[in-house]
Amino acid sequence: MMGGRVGAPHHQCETIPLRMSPTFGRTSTLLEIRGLAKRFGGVIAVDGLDLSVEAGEVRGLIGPNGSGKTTTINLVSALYRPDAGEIRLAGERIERLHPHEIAGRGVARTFQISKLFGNMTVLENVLVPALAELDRGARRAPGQIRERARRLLDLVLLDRLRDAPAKELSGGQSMLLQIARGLMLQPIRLFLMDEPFAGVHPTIKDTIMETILNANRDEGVTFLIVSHEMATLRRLASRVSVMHEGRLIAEGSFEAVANQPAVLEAYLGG
Amino acid sequence: MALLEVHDVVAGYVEGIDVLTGVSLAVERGSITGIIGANGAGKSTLLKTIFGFLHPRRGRIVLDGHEIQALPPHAVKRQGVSYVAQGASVFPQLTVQENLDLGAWVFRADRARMAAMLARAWSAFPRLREKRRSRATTLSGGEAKMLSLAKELVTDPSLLLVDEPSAGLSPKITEQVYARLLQVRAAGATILLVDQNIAKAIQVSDYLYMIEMGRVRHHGPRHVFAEQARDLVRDALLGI
Repeated sequence: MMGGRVGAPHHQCETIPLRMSPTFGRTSTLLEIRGLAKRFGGVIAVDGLDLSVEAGEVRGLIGPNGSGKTTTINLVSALYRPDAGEIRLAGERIERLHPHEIAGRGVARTFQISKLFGNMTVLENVLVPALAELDRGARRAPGQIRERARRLLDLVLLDRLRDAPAKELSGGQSMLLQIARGLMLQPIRLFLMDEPFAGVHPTIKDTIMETILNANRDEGVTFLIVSHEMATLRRLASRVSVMHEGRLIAEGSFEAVANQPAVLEAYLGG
Repeated sequence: MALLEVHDVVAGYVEGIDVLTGVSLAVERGSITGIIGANGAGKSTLLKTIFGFLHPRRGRIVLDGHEIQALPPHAVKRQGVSYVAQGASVFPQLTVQENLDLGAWVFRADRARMAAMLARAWSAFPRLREKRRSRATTLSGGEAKMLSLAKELVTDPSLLLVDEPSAGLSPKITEQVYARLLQVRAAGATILLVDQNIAKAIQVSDYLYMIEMGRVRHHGPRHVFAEQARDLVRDALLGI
């Protein structure tokens, strides 16, 4: 682990009154998915998915290959349009919005295959969400933006590489940069992660885990994390949702879902 | 002596990140040996390392008594090993026949042998024979998978490495692929099969290895795996 970095308070960071958000309504459900469906030609990737994530949670999303996890992330982040169903963020229907509008509502994501601006520097990549916000009319002082960018790069241990082109980063460093860039969104409410630990060096894995735990604890960011690395995911998420053939087949603690026959059968294939 | 022995192999793609972290296994002659494990466990990397796409940082790979871990893929192929990649690995702009010719490329100097190989392929894959002048890009997904299998079988390998034979295929085509693999085994070939469909892998394999974090977590004959499959999945889900 990263020693003293864990739990270091970030007093200088703007606090985000997530739990007091006026759109939050009476329920504490941040993400609510009902009857979500998406097909690609003859393949039904998501098939009537119901899934709810509470505000402030770190939730794992697991399932055998091809169960629809990445498609779900792509639907919530508006990369795809659903064929049916509803997606609500803090009560608001978002399934017909565009990706930049989703981002504007505080939903960040990472991609399994890094989607950075390779010829821009590490720092410039992190600044992109802030520029987009300014473009949307947000009022943020340049100093404040720079300070948060610097602090986030520090948090993910990339500060010394801030002037390097992003294309020079390793796979693990690229994931860290994607995470820092996502956390640059203000306000950041929901962070969707697609296999953030795949092919990443163990020490970088630790940094990713700490960054997630920090953001969750200090800023109340809700996480929905797709991962096949159960041991790692289990250290982050107390609840896990299991998908199979595009649907939710189980939900609960790792112990609870690992003992459900339907989950075992799904993983065994057939 | 097993046809293939893998001894304590460490390998990876990027400096500092080992995908295989000390894997050891043996593949008996005439068997189908199945490799199962979660995504990212190193199953495909193991096949690529055996075939010479990756060279181990440590360890030995012994085929029929000869070390092959330093050989490039074409040299491993000459030793009688074929590798069927995931999906349909064909040259889309070439015809079906040209694809098969390339499958036998390492033996191109021996024209009689090549002709015999092709004749065998046509009788084994009559559908491909019908389409031998068509470009591979015009084939259906199932036909393309059969072509990639035929392309690797054309050299009559003694060891066939097969990565995820059912990935992205319809159940009907999947059954045909497995049926073909069983025929190949019956004809005397040895198969090392990577499959994420655990139930299917247990059904067709004589012996299985479960890989986790780049090394063997469990191994045993089919009947033992069949009994323990649920416990293994439960442990994997719990990350223990």
